[in-house]
Amino acid sequence: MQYYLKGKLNIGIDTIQHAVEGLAYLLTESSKLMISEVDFQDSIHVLGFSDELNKSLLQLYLDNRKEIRSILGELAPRLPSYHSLEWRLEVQLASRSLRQQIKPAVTMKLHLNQNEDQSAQVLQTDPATLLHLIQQLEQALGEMKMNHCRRIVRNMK
Amino acid sequence: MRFRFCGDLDCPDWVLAEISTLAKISSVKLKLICAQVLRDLLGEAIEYDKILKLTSDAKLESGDVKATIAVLSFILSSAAKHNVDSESLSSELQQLGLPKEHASGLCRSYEDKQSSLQDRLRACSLRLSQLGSVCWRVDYTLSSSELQEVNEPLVHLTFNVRDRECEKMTAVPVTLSANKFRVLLAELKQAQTLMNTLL
Repeated sequence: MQYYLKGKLNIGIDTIQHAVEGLAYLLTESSKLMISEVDFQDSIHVLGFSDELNKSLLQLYLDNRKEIRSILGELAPRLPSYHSLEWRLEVQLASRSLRQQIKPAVTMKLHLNQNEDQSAQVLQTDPATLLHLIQQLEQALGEMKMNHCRRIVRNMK
Repeated sequence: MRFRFCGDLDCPDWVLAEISTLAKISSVKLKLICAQVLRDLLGEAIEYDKILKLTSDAKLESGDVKATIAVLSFILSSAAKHNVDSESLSSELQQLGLPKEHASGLCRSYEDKQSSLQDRLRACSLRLSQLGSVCWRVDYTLSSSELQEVNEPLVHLTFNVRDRECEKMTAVPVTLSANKFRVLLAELKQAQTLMNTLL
């Protein structure tokens, strides 16, 4: 693309590269800070461009800032997040050391996603611990219905 | 309302919403689409173009076509999961608002493939690793740097274990003396007898 522009506009490659980088920086910083139209116009005014150029830069900013913001949002580091859970219920009936057992267990494979990396964690628990786990998770969900959480969620909307 | 094909729970809202989309397709075409969805659930390739052709009469948008495939996948696999017979499935689908001919067409396709579906679901159940094959070799040690006349048999075993996730085969080599091997064999035979009592 740079060679194309060089051919069309007859300027050096370095100049084009600086121009592209400058434009990208202007747009990402403005979108990052979500500055108003007035502030944007004031900021580029000091560069001393023509009115027409200032107007097109402003239009470029306004048209693209939503998309730029969504792309910038994706760049933040992420913790592994839940993808899916496979489970099975099994009963241990005998082992090398002891016959005539009845030992139920739940084996789970937790699939996690982290920035397009998939990993899996295998866990095993007895039914009592599983019930405790369910209880804890239901308590955590219940917190969302408490007044404190409700107030914060209402203010965020 | 509790439905057996949903595991004695309420029917999910999205399934309820898509039943009306299913009713837009003719019952004959719905049965053919079911056949395609069953192919996908059984692990064969789904022929998406055929489904597009079958849904073109009903003038469904591309989002609706995907929703149709999703809801049929859910109904068929969930019914197989909870071992629902085809008559109960038909009556439950009619309770949700699916017309009678559509429900009976769907359930006939389900009935034909119910046991293969359940076999496939059983094979896909959580399993940590799987023994692929065992190779063995018996050697006879004649002599070593420690002792001039050893004269002992030795068994080399290689277990080829497949990791369920990455489809990779790992080879686990083991070398045993004759006595150790006898102990291993006796224990495994005991385990096999126990397994046979359960079959």
